[in-house]
Amino acid sequence: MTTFSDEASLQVEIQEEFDIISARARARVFAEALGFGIVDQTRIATAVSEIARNALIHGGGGKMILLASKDKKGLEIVIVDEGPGVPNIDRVIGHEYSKPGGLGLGLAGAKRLMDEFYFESKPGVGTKVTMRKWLPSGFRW
Amino acid sequence: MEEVSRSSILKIEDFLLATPQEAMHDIAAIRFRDDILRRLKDTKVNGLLIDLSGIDVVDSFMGRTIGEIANSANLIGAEVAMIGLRPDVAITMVEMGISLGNVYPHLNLDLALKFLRNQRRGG
Amino acid sequence: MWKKLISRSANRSFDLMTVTQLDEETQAFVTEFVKAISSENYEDITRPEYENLLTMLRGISANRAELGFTPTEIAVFILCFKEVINTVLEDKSEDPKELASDVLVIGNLMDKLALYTFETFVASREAIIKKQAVALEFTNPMIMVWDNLIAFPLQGVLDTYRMAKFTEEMLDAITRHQAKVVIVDLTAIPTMDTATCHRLIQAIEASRLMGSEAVVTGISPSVASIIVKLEVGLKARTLRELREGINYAFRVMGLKVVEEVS
Repeated sequence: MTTFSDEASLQVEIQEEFDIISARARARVFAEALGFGIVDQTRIATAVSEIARNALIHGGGGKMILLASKDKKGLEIVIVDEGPGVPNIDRVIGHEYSKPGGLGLGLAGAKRLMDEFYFESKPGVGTKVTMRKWLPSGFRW
Repeated sequence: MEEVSRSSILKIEDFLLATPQEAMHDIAAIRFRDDILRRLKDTKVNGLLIDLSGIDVVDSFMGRTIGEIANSANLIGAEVAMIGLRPDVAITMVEMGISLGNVYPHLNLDLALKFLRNQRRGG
Repeated sequence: MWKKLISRSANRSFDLMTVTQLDEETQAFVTEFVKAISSENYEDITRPEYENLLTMLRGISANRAELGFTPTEIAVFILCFKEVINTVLEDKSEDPKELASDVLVIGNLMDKLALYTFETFVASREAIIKKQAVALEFTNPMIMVWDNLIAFPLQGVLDTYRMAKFTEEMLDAITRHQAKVVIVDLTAIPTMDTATCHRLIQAIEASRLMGSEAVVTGISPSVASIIVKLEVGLKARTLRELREGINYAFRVMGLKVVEEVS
């Protein structure tokens, strides 16, 4: 597993509405700097928008950390909050949370946009979402 | 932080042209929605045109809001057309599974207006 | 003098390169060559004293390969130099026997250098040709059928990566040409895997969101069954041939092809 170094990292607070916009703008710029194309930048910004909103609305606020992989070929986004957490992860992307405004829809969508997606949540502790996207490897032989 | 809203709602021919600008956070989006619906009611127009060319991210919240605008507009009696969706945003929305509801997408302003004029004639 | 010889051998050096470039190359070669032979090793070009010269020759080879030189032309570059050296040796020599052996030694050395240059050149050329072939396989040529009407006859093997690239190209083309209708012709695509099919359906939906109508032609039975299994549904007009697609598009756009009565 490629390591993500702290050398090139950025932290963004998510405490109010406008921070969601900041977060996705920062993520977009970070992605562009790593060489992601426009469509990937939008995918990343949109995924950030979804998860950051969840952290704010359901998690009571949190923060986002952007990291670049050591070989600069990938991007990792971690969004954590110290909110109530979700008791049953399996149900999240299922029916229970799929009503509009619920967690499910946004999470499922964000997962589809990224290459790797990890959701950890403990009731009473908080929620942590880790997402990764890799630069396309170009020509295939 | 000062909010300078560059979003606009203009009357064009017999329709309303709503142009949300980027970096619209949730509260502003809801306010924009309410503004549009109020103007629709006041001006008694039969068509609403939403220009999304200034939008760089449509997430599930934005998608839902646009859907709400469209549904309410329909109930009030106006058809809703949409223009200006950016290619990267279109791809992302489809991959996420976001739907905009009863909105008719068009290539550009001309075609959208033609469409709305036709709708008004009951075509 | 060397340059005169090169131009006399009627190769295209002066057409494909600037005079300055040729000057630089010949100068660099002479410099490195002199340095290399000052080691008195005229035999083994794999020895370190020849490393700089070989690196330089590799550079010249690669450069000329990109410029489109032929293998003969690059060999001529070295062989002309051989002539030059022989002339110099002739001038400087007093003993015919010594001259003969000197010419032989230098001749062998130059031949080895020429072969080396030739080989690296051929390798560079092959790499370039391969790259071009791959590039061609990945582009999706677009036909501008009429104002506001574009068509993409897809070819080759489609995987999710190519389909993703195609989606971007198609949507950009829709914007650029304000395409009211875009025809995606799959006649040359016998089969696709499920994931790629899914991407195609998404591409069609994205084009719809941008205000364009997509028409898909030439779906094979194999592709059809994959689409059906996906249950998502292809929301586009589907027809057998590209021609029918164009016909349909014209109708939708209110255009008619009329035969001229002479």
